[in-house]
Parts: sequence; structure tokens; C-alpha cells
Amino acid sequence: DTHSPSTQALTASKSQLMAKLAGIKYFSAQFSQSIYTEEGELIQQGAGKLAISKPNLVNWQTTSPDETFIISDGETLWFYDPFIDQATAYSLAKSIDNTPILLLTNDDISLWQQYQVNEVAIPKEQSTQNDVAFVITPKKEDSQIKSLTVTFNGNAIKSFSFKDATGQLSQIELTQYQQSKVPAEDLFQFTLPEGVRLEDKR
Amino acid sequence: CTTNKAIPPIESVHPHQERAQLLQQLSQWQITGKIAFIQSNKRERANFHWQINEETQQQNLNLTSYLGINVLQLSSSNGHHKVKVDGKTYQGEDLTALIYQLTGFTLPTKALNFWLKGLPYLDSDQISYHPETQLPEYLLSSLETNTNNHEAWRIHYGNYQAIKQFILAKKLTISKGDLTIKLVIDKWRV
Repeated sequence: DTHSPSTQALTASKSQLMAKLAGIKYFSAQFSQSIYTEEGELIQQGAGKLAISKPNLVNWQTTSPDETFIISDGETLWFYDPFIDQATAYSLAKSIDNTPILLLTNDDISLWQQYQVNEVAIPKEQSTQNDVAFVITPKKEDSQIKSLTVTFNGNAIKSFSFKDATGQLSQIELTQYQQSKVPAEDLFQFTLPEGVRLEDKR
Repeated sequence: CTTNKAIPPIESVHPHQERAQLLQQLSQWQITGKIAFIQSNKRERANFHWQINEETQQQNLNLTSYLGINVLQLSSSNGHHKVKVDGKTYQGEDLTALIYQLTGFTLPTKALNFWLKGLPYLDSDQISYHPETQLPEYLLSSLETNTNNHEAWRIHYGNYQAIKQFILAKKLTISKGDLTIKLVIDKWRV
């Protein structure tokens, strides 16, 4: 890691981000998702619900334009897609690269070593009182995700977005965010429904 | 008032030709939705955004995984195609071959320009119409593609909706031997 003068600043941003994340043991929210091409053209919109519990437990369910499920039970990451009656299983460790949401569920320092964190200013018209945003960039060159941006309002996550290798931007806005009620355990369990094909990539 | 003189029947244009003529005007359109490729040993799904201008022969196709990550980017202008997959760019004239080489899936994009509207692509394509709605229900085509799957293409149309002056299907099930392509259009923009 080059010793540029801003190295100190980087770790300051990273420790500030990690302090905020450490304060979040679990949360649930509704989300709306908009996907833009690199040229800024809106090519897809969707919505759904999200629940996260540390460490590594995720339930990301889209309800529109159709139903899909991404569930991490702490060991396996399940992608269940009723449209093709198939569930794909990945080992969690191998999936962190292309599933940025998993970063929000993990305070493990060694994992965060692989990422650079910068605090960024939020454009005036988008920011409300005490918003703060961090851009997280993987140090690994060939990661599918080029950058992940998380915006907090106080200690609550307000939105996050990620850019992929083609510059395509996925923007996720959270509403009905709550950190007080522990998400139900069965949200983070997955059983293969009857008649659904399993594609096991673990 | 009625006249008792038999009025010669006006040569009525058959509703099917009428629909086909109307659809000739539809040369610029954009569809958003999801596509699934289902074969005996492999199933894949992507969300798509496909934008076409048939007059200028210009098209853009974006395939995105449900995480929001782009899996295929296509841009074509006057017969030349550029496809980006996994950060690499491939170019060619035969798009169906290019997509097959990159994804292993057969997607006859040129034919789809017609089939999506319920129009024949080959002169030999046969369409059967729904008895009540008189809208295309099945299409059968012997279009050859570069794969060893020489079965005929069979398309079922469903979920018709009026989009401006056109009535277009929003659900297509396209099968060819053991390959089934499910295409659900969330939004037609014409």
C-alpha cells in the first residue's frame, strides 16, 4: 500500500465507516432500485424488502418487476429465481466480490483490508442534515464491482449504490428503515421449494 | 335509409393483413423485461433493456443479472455489432453466432424483431390466430441457426395489451427442441 499522504486520511474514513457499521447489529427496510447505464440512461426499476443481521445474514427479496430472492444463511448464498424455477447456491466466502451488500454485514477487519474507503461530499440538493457518504473501492483489480457507495443519515443507512465493470450504476434507496426489531430467524434460512432445480456452485 | 340495391362488398382487408400493415409503422421501439433460457442441463435468466431503430438499423441491448450487474452489452449500427461481455469487446456481422459463441444460447435477434410483433420473419413462417381475438397465438418457423438443434421454432403469444395504436403481446414462450426461451415484457415503449 503506497504511503501517500492521504493514507492517514483513508484509515480515518475507513475507521469512521466501520464505527458506523459496528453500531448496526441488524436492520430491515423496504428498497427501491434504479439501474442506469454508464451514459445515465435508466434501464430498469424494481422494489422489494431487505433484512440484514450480523454476521453475514441477508434476505434481499425483490417484489417488482418480479419476485427473486437472495438469501445468505451465513454459509451459503442462495439465489432463488421462480421465473426459471431454479435456485443457485454459492459459498459465501467466494461471493463477497460480486455481492456488495454482504460487506454491510461484516465487521471483520481482514475482509476490510481488501477495500479502500473514502468519505465523499454529497451534492447539496441530495443531502439532508447530517448525511455522510463513503465510497468503498475493492483493491482487487478484477472485481465485478468497481465501487460501492453507502450513504448514512446519522447512524441509519439511507441508500447505497454500486457500479459494475461496465460503469452500470445500481442505485438503492431505503425506506421504512428500522434497527430496533430483530429480523425473524427464518428470513435467513432457505429450503429448496418442491420441484425447483438446484444449481450448486459451491 | 336503406337501399334495396345490393351494395357490392367493399374488398375488406383481412384483419390479419390490416394488423400487419399497421405494424409496418412500428420501426422504433424499446422493451424492458426479463428473458429466461431453459435447456435440459442449464437455466439462465437476465433482465433486458432492448432499444431498436429499424430504419437506421441501430440497436442497443443490455442484459443485467438480478443483482444489477451487467452481463452483456450490445450495440449495433448498420449491420455491424459490438458485444461486451466480462469486460471484453467482440465484433461481428452475424449477431446470432456472436451471442451463441459468447453465451452458449441461441437468440435469433433479427427474426425476433418480427416475431416480437407477431409478424413472420421468413416467408415460410406460419401464424395461427386466436379464434376470438384474431391476434397471433402461435408462430411456427423453420429458421435455421448455426447450432445442431434443427428443430422448428415454435412461439406462443400471450398477455396482449394495447400500446398506443398497436396491440402487442407481453409474454412470448419460444421453443426449439430442448431449448425454451421465456420472454416477459414489462414495458413496451413505441
